[in-house]
Amino acid sequence: MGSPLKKIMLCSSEKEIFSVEEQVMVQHSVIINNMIEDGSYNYEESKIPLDCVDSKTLKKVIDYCTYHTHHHNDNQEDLEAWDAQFLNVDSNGLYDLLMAANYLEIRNLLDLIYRTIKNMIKGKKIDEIRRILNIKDHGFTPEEEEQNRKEYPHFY
Amino acid sequence: MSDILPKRGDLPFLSDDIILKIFGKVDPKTVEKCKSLSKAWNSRLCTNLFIKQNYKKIKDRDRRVIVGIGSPPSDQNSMWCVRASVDTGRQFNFNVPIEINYYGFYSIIGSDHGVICLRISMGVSILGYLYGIPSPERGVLHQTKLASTAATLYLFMPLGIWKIVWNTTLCMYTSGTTLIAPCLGVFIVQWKGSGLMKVHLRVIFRSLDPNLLWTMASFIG
Repeated sequence: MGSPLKKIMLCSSEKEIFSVEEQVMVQHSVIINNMIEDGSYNYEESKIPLDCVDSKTLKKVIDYCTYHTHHHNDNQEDLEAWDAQFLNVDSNGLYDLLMAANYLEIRNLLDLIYRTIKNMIKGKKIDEIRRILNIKDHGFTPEEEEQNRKEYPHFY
Repeated sequence: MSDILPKRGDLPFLSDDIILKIFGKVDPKTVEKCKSLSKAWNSRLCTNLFIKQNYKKIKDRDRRVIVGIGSPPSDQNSMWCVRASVDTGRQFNFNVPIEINYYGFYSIIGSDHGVICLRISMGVSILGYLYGIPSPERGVLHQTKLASTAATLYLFMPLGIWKIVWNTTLCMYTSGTTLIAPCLGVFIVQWKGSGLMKVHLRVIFRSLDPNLLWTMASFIG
């Protein structure tokens, strides 16, 4: 584990630099933890390039990690409420977060997003899910779609 | 890790491993629903890997089993199935409708993820596989689909092969790890003609290999 005072630099796809407490990222991101542990990160010079994460998403990810580092002793309900508020984004935003969390291997955040997506889908009708997930082109031919609707009328 | 991104993402275009993670533990009805959501998801949720993974993660959540399939004397146009819960012994019966029955002989290959897999055959030649979800409310196997062979193979693979053969009064149940493997358990039940079939689940299960029971008992409603 790194010392709590040290900072590391993360660089978003827009080349914006974010300075974060090392401990925050090390605790949450497997990738960054590995990087620090094997000594490939140079505190004077290195920036960790995250080419597939844009600034907006990176900021959210850092928010998440920071909050969960400093509030991990809070009671469960408060944390869940915070998480729910945190993930109150549209489906594109959720996708970006998912990709970033996947790239950085932030397991808590990944689990949270998986759960969120599952809840978005459970107990809903297909038309509704398509709207929520922004599926414009489902890729079925009109015949296939019609057959599906005929076979599973209660799904629609 | 899937770190190579298509330029701009969208939830419908998640990579395979993420779909696997999200849906790995999802219940069979939701999986079935999501197959109709979009073609891209459909193909992902039908891969061998997914079906296996999903099966592994979900198999001990609810344990039910098909205990019988056959033609009750009263209705020649449909097959009759009995499904029972392993834990409570509660049973319900449902009919396989006529349009499936049209093909003549068929047998249950396996039941998995709330899906029953039937093999339809005429004599020795296998015509195809059907699968469907029985509905407790309506009492029929009302959603059926001719499964793609590859998907179906994996649908019943984890279960081993088991089948139930009927004649008018007797129900014989056989099971084994492959088609030609020796039977692990056989039981005979008297056909009462109407009402629920009296099957003593515990007696059946005691006669079986406990590991087999586990796979057999994975029918999920």
